[in-house]
Amino acid sequence: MSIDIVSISKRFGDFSALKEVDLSVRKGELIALLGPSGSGKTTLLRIIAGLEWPESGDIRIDGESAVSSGARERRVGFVFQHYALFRHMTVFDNVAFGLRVRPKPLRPSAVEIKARVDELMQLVQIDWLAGRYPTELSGGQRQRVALARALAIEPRVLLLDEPFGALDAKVRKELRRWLRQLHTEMGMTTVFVTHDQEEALEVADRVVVMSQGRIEQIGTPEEVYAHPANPFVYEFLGNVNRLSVEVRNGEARHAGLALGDIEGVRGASGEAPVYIRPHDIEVVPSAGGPSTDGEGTVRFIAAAGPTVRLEIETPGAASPIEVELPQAAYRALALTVGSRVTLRARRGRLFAARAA
Amino acid sequence: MLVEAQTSDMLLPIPVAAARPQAALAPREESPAVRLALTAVALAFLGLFIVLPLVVVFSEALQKGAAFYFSAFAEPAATAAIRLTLLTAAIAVPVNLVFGVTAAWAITKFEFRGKSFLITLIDLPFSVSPVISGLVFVLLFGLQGWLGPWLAENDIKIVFAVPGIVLATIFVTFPFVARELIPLMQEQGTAEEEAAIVLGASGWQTFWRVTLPNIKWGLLYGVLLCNARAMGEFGAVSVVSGHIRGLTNTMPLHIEILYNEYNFAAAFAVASLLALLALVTLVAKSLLELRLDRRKP
Amino acid sequence: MTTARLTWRQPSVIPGFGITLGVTVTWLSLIVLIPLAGLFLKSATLGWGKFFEAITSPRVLAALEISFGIALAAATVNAVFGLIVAWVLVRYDFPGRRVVDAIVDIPFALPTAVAGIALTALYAENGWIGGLLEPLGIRVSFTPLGIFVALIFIGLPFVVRTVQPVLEDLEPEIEEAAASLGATRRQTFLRVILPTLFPALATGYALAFSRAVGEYGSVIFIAGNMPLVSEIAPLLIVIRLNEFAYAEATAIAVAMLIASFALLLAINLLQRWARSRGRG
Repeated sequence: MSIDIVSISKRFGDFSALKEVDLSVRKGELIALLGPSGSGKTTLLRIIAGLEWPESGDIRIDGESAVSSGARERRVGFVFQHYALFRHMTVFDNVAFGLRVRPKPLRPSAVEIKARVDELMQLVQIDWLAGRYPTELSGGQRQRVALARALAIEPRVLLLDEPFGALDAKVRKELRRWLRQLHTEMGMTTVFVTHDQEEALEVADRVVVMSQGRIEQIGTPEEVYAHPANPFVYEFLGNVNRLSVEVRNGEARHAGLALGDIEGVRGASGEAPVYIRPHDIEVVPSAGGPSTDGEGTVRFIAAAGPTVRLEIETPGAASPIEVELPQAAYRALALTVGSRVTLRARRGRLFAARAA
Repeated sequence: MLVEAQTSDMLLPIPVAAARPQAALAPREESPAVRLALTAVALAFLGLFIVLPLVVVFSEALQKGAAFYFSAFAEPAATAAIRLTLLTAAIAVPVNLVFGVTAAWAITKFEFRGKSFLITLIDLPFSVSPVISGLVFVLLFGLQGWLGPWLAENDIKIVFAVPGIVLATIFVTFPFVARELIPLMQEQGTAEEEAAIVLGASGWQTFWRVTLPNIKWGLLYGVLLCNARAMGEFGAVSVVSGHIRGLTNTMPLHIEILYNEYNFAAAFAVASLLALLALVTLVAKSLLELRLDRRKP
Repeated sequence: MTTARLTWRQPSVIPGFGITLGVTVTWLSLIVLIPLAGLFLKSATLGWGKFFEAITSPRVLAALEISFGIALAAATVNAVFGLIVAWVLVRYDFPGRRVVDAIVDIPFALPTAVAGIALTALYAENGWIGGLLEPLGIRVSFTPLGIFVALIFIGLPFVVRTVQPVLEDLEPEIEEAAASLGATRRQTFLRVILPTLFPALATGYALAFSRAVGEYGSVIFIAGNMPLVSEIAPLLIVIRLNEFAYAEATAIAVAMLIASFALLLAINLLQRWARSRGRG
C-alpha cells in the first residue's frame, strides 16, 4: 500500500517537531527515515501509525485519508523501539494478541489463530520459543517476536521505530540482512526510523534524511551519499572534510590542497565552504627539499581495517584534513607520521552560504 | 548465563579477603565493633518499641485462658462489632480499589497540566488527623451541620450511623490504592498499551488483558494495606460513630469500651484478632514484595 | 484537516482520559475536598474574634503545644533511630534480616487502638517495662512521656521506609571515591553519605511528624489525658464535639491543619533547598 504524507505539522508545546513535511512512500517500498535525535523522524512514524496527531496536514494510506481514524482502525504494523512486548504473556500469546482482540464476528477460531501464529513464528524463526516469556529472550529474539506480533494483524504497512537500536553490533548486522530479505519476500510497504546512517544506506530502497522537523533530502542510498543536497546531509552521511575556500573568477582555491572537480562553483564568489569526502582526496608524497606551498604533514595514521585513515595538517585549514586510502595504495606510498605530502581533491561540493 | 559466570570467575581470580591486610577495611565497611553496636541498637529499638507491644497483646489476651479468650468473641456486642467492621471494609475497600485504579490510569497514562497537584490532593487524607477526618463529616451531615436539617426531615441518618462510619473509613483510606499504583504504572510506561491499541484492542481489552496483569501484584498490595487500615481505623470512626453498642461499634471501638470498663482480657482478646490481621497483612505483603522483586529485570 | 485539541494535555491513543479524570476529580471532590472545605467554611462563620478566642484559651494552647511539641520530639528520635535501623537493614547481613525488615511495618498495619492499649499495658506500673522503670522513679503511662512513646511507635516506619530505598540506591563509587581521596569512614559518612540522605531523611521526618501530630488512637489510652498536662489537641476536639461545642472543635481543627500544613511546607522548602544544593 502507498502512503502519502501531505504537509504535516506537529508541535509539542513550544517545540515544533515537524514543519510541513511532505513524503510519498510507494507501494512495496522499504524506506528509512534517517536523522539525529530530535529531527522528528519518530514523530513522523508515530503519526503514520496514528499514535500521534498532526496539527495540520493529511495522511493517505492507499489514497484514502487516515487522519481521522485512530490507531486501532488503521491496521498498521508497528514495531516499538523497545519492542513493548506484553511481559506477562508468552511469545505465542504476544503474537496471537492482535487476532484474539478482534471483535467476535471477525475473530478467527482458536485453531485458525494457532495455525496463523505458528506460521508467523516460523517465518521469523522463533517457533521454538513459543512458550517463553519476553524476559527470557535475547534482544534479537524480542525483536523477532515484536515483528511477528505486528505482522499477525495482516497490516497494510509495516512501521519500525529504531528496529536495531537496542542490539549489539553483531546481532544488528544479522537482523539487518534478515529484514531486507523478509521485505523482499513479502513486499510489504515498510518504513523504519534510524539514526544510524550505515543502517539506512544498507537496508533501504530510499532514504529520507531529516533534521529539525524538516526533510532535507529524499533519494536512493547512492543519491544521498554521492549527491547530498545540502551541507547537513553531507555532514550527517559519512565522514567529510569541510574546507573554507576562496572563489575567484569561477575557480575555487585553497592553500592546503589542489581542487579538482568542484560542483557548485559556478555563480559563487568570495569565501565559501567546500565539502570533500576523505576517500576523494589523492595523496602524493612530496619530493625532498624545502617545503613548498600546498604541502601538508602526516600527523596521524590509523592503519587497521580495509581503509587507512590519515590526518594531515595543512597550512590552509584550521583542523587536520582527513584522508582515506585503500590499504594497497597506502602501502605503495610508504608514509609515516611526519611525512610530507601534497593533496589533491578529486571532487567536492561547494555550497554558497545559505541565503534562505 | 554460562558465559557470564565464566567472566565473573575470571575477574575474581584471588579471594579478596586473602589479599587484604588485616587492619584495613574495605571502603564501604565499618569496623566490626561499630557494626555490632549499630545492629544491637537497631534491634533493641525495634524490639522495645515495636515487637514488645505486639507480644503484650497476645499475652494479655490469653491471660485468663483459652476458654475466656474465645468467650470474648461470643458476646453479642463483639459479634456485632466484628460484623460491622467486615461490612465497612467490604464497602470501603472495593470503592477505593475502583477509585485507585481509575485515578492511576488518568494520572499515569496521560500527560496533562496540574497532574502533580492532583496527586497532592489525593494524598491529602494522609496528612489530616483521623479525628478531623471524622469531624468534617459531622459538620456536613450532623444535626447542626450543613445538610443536617434536610437529612433529619427526610429521616436519613448518616452521622452516628453506619453510613457515616463507612464514609469516614473511605476518607481515611482514600489514597492507599492510588498511591501504590501510581509509581508502579509510571515505571511501566505506556508502550504496552500503545502496542495493544495498534494491534486493534479496545480500551477495555487493553486494560483487562495488558494493564491489569501487569499491575495485579501492586494492586493486591495496595488493597491489603487499605484493608488493614479500614478494619483498624479508630479516630475518625470514633468521632462519627456515636458509640451505640451493638449498632455502630466497630472492633476498635469495641476494644475501647471493653478497656474503659476495665475488662482488659476481653479488650485484648478482640485486639488480638486485629493484631493477627496485621500480621497476616505483613506476611502477605512480604511475600508480595519477594514476588515483585523477582519480576524486576 | 486540522485537528483542534485542548492544549492542557497531550493527545494520546490510549482511551479513557475524560472518564477516568472525571471520575477521579468528582470522587475526590465529594469525599475529600468538599468535606474539608466545609470545615474551613464553618470556621469562617465563627468570625475572626471568636475563632481567635477559641484557639487561645489556655487549655487549647496547652493541647496544641503538647501535640506539636511531642510530635516534633518523637519525629526527631525517629529520624535518628530510623536512620540507624535503615542503615543496619541495608548494609549489614544477619540472620533474620528479612523478618526484622517486615517488623518495621507493624505500626503501619497494627490498628492504633490496639497499639494504644498494648503500650499502656507495657508501660503501666505493673507492666513489663513499666515495672522496671517504676523503681527508678520513671513513670511513662498516664504522663506526657507516654504520648512520646506512642508517637515514636507510630512514626518509626515512615523514616525507615523513606531512607531505605535511597540508601539502597547510593552508588558505591561515591564512598569508594571518598575513601580513595583519604577520608576516614566517619568523614565519609558525615560529609558524603549524610548530605545525600538528607532529603529522604527530611521527608521521613515530615511524614512521621505529620502522622504524630494528628495521632489519636494510640495516644489516648496511654496519655492519662489530664487537661493542660497530657491532653492532646485531637482529644480536645473530640471532647468539644461530645459537648456539642462544634464551633470550638472546628476552630481547633482548623488551627491544627494550618499549623501542620505550614510546617510541612517549611520542611518541603528545606528539602528542595537541600536537593538543589546537592545537585549543584
